[in-house]
Order: sequence, then C-alpha cells, then structure tokens
Amino acid sequence: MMSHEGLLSIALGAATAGMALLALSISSHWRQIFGKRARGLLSLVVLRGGGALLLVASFAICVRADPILMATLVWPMLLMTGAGLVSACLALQAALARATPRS
Amino acid sequence: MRESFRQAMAFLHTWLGLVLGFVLMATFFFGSLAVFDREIDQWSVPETRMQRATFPSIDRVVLPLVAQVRPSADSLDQAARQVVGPLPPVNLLKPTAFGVYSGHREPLLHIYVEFQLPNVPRDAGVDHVYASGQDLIVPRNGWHLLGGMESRLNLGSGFFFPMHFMLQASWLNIGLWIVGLAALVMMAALVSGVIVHRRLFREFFTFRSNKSQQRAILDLHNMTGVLALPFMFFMTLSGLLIYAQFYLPSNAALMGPLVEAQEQTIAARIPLPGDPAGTPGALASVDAMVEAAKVRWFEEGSAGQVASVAIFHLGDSASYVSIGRDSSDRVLSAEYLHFRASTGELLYEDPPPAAAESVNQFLYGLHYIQFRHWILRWLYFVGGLVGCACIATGFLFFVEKRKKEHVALGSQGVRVVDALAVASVIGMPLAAVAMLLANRVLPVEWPHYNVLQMAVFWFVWLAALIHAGARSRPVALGGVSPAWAEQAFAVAVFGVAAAVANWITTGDNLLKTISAGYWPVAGVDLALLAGALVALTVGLRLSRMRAPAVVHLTHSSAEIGGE
Repeated sequence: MMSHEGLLSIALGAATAGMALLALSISSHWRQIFGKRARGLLSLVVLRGGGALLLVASFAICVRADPILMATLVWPMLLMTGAGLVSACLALQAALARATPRS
Repeated sequence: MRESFRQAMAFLHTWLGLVLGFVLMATFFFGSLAVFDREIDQWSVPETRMQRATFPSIDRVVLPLVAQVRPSADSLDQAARQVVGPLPPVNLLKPTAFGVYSGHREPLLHIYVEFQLPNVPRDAGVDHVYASGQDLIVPRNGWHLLGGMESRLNLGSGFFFPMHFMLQASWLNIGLWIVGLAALVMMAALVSGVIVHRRLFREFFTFRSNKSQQRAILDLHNMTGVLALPFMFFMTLSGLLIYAQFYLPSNAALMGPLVEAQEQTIAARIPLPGDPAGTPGALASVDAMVEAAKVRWFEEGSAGQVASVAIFHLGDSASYVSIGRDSSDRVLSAEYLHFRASTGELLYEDPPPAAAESVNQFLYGLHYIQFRHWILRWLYFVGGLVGCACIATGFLFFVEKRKKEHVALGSQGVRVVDALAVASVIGMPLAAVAMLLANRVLPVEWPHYNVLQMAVFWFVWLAALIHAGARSRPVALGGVSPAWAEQAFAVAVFGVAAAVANWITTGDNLLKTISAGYWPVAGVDLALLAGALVALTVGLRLSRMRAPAVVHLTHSSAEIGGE
C-alpha cells in the first residue's frame, strides 16, 4: 500500500503531465518545442484528450489518497502546481533557446 | 460611457483592483502567514516550544489544575463595567465552567475557565456576566500550568491572523468592514478579469520574459490570476460567508422575534440545561466519559481522538460534559457528545448537519484549514503567495502602462501608485520580518513588550512607505524606483538577522531543530532564510536595471519650445 505522500506525488505527476499535453495542444507552444513540424488533427485530439484524461486520473488518485471532500481541495491545488511547473519549463526553454547560438 | 462590455469590465477591473488591491495584498499576505500561525506562535513564544503530548487524564491531571486558574485582569475590568456594584474578591470567585482543548498543531493543552459573577448585569437582556481566565498546560516534569503566557503576544494567531481578516483595526469594527468590501471587490475583479482576458486558454501557459516589460508583467499577472483562480475564488467567497451575518445581519435586524422563537424551539429539543439547578451535584469520572465517546465514534464508523472537553455548571446537579472529536481528518467541523456530569450517561449527541449546514461547514472548513494535511497546507501557503503575485503584477502593469504617458504630461500619478506598490509588496513583508526580529531582540521582561513589537511593525511599514515616496522620483522620469531594490535588500538582511537572533536567544538553530525533527521552529527559520534569498536575488536583479535617461531642459531648449 503506497504512502499518502507517494499517492499525492503520483497525482501531481499526472496533473503536470496532463497540463504538459494540453500546453502542447496550443499551437504557439507546439511550435516552441517542435519548430515547424506539422501537428495534425489526430495529434491535437490525442494531446487534448490525453491531457484531459491525465487530469481526471490525477483526481482519481487524489480521491484514493484522501476522503473525497479533502480531495476536492487538494486536486485544484495540484492542477495549479502542475500548470505552474509547465509554464516555468516553457519559459525556461524559451530563454535557453534564445541564449543558445544557432548552428 | 465605455464602448463595449469588455472595455467596461477592463475599467472596473483596473480601478477597483488599484484602489482595494492594497488591502487585498495585506489580506492575502497575512492569510499566507496565518496558514502557519501556530508554528509562528511557537517561534515567537519560545517557552511553548515542545513536542506535542497526548491528551492527559481529565480526572487526575486537568481537574486539579482548574482551581489554580484565576480570572485575568482584563476580563475582570470588562466584567466590572457590565455589572452593578463592586465585584467580589477574586479569591472568592469559583469556576462555573471550564474547557480544555488541543489540536494536532498545538504542543500544549489550552485551558479556559469561566467564573459566573454574582452581580446583577447592567443590561436587562443579559442573564449573567462572566469573567474568564486562560492558561496552558505543559507536559514537562509531570503536568502543570505554564503561567504568565496568557498575556504574551503570539505573533501568528495573535497578530498576523487578525491582520488577515480585520487589519488590526478594531475601532467600530472598521477593519472588518474594509476587508469585507475588499473581498466583495475581489469577486468582481476575478469575474471581470476573466472577461477581460481574451486569450485565456491560448495564453494559459504563456510567460514571455523576452518581450517588453509591460508585456512580461501582464503575462505574469494573467498567469498567476488564472492558475490560482479556483483558490482565490473559494477563499474570497468562503471568507465573505464566514462574516456574512456581520455584513448582513438579517437575522437580528429583520427577524428578531422569529429568531428568538427558533432558538427557544431548538433549546427545547436539546436536553442540555442552559442554567444551573442551584443544587450541588457530583462529578463522575470524566475519563470514563472520554472512553465512552471514543467507543461511540468507533461504532458509528468515525473512530477518532478527543480534541476538547468542557464542563458546564461545574459542581451543580445540572452539570454536563461536552466532548469534542478531533476532526483534523476531515474538512467539516467537530462533532460533540454531551454527558450528564453526575452519572456519565450520554445526554445528547449533535445530530448530523442538514444539507445547508453541511455546505456551510465545508466552506468554513476549507477556509480555516484546521485539518491535518501538510501537503495541502503548504499548497494553500503557495496559493496565497501566488495571489499576492497576481495583485503585485497588477500594480506593476498599471504603472508600466501609464508611465510614458504620465512622463510626457508631467503627471505624478504613476509615481504615487508605484510608491504605494513598493510599500505594500515589499514594505509589508519587511515590516513582518522586522517584527519577528524585534520579538527575539527586545527583552521579554519589558512591561510593554507586546506593544513594542507591534510598534516596530507599524513603524517599519510607515518608514517603508515614506522611503518609497522619497525614492520614487525616477518613476516620474520613466525609470524604476530604487526603493524596490533597497527594500528587497532590507528584507534579506532582516530575514537572516531574525533567524540568527532566534539561534542566539534560544539556542535553537537549524541544525538542532531539523535533527530533532522540531519542524515548527525549523520551518519558520527556513522560510526566513528562503525569503531572504529570494529578496536578495530580486534586489540584485532590480539594482541592475538601467536608470532612465534624464533630460535636462536648457534655457535655449525651453525657448525653442515656447516660440
């Protein structure tokens, strides 16, 4: 039986991964990471659907870790944290890309 | 009149946010500190630094100590004003009720004793007037009263927490009114902000640090606002609902007779005596009642520990014992079992709350966070600081957007807003850290120790405002006020100094507290040092920002302009 902290760490991981997929479904962030590589409609559906599913999975793990009323408080805060981590990574990636001279 | 709905919302968001944003900054910052109010209490009153002990025996430990608690001088002064005639000698006052309570974040047991005064109340609508005394029960060398701590200022629960909901302004409850108005405005600002933010989903993760300062600040304001939107919305809503009866006293003002009738109906259903019988009564074993309470909770599927025990009409035949369950495992508030004091039989159990009351308790619970969930507690702390960042970037965006225009017009508007922003965004944390430093440096024996700590807080905050105003001239010329960096450096210095002062005055340094697992004090020290590091980093970055090119108008230039 996984510890309470372990379960919530996985929930945070799922929330962050879900937010990352949703971020990639936004064209500006897709271009930022993958450059000019085309993103088809199927990819968009997979990214958005997968992102949403991961967020739902994160909630399910929160409910596993805590009573449901507590989980309804924990989950939005994990979403905030996950989205913040993704935003920070995107901003850092952009700064590093600007700092790296093009070959 | 604004051309469109969105423009109208932008106008509302900007000006409401600017005017009441300074109050909201205080509410969110001190709300974040209040998340760890008990830990800050232990840091600020070193005599209470100890590991938490289990709830002691009421029969063997607590009851003998009740007789040692005397009414406080303040309570006697207050009671004397409410009764006719002089009060009886203090040593003749007998306790008529008492309560003990503890929590998972409280190292000590709080004891509260009530003394019913025999005097006739001045207010004919009042049945009795009481004096009260408080103390702490310490599990050291057996159990005994700590004594002398009841008047000490606890910086967390006694200062930062009241700052959060009433700005320490109790005259005519003006602080409550101001915070309530700010909270109402916050709801409007949240809704209008969502309407104004056209690309809410497209720019959900966007922070463009390489763009203009104005664009980068707006990105940060949008991002922090959207990420923390659910947190800010529910904190603001629940905060308003907690004081709803104060802001809209519809019960008392509009339905007085109905409310009285309801109270009487409820009292008739609850077999708990409101008044003593006037005949002496014995007290059965309270420990046995505590065990019976635990068994009952277990049988009902909500096994738990005891958080509070209270005895009413002490020594009277109508006396009863109320035992509260430690509800730190849930969001909702406590449940109570009430026993007849003379026999220990269960008199009454609080019924499960109705739907509306459950929602009310949930909203209370999510705001007061009395539950045991350290991860969520830290997330609340971060959420509060993200809220502060949202408000702060709102100020900065206001200044940056209008700077060029105000410089061209020679207006001082952005200079004033910028100075106020410095005082609230950096000056306020500076004052809080200075207060913590003063707590360690000022001698405890000084008669005005509490007042001096508060004076340091207000003086440093006022000094920060004056300093921000005095150093704001570059803003009027299109630059950045050096006050931002200077006050950030001051936060760094005071933060480190407070942690070092804690070490020098108490012997508790990080090595000692972390190795002992004493996280309340270690946590505050770590937060002080982490805050100092952030402040230093921010100060260094800000101090490297270029000063504006100052244009000196010569006599000839002025003539050319004026021909």
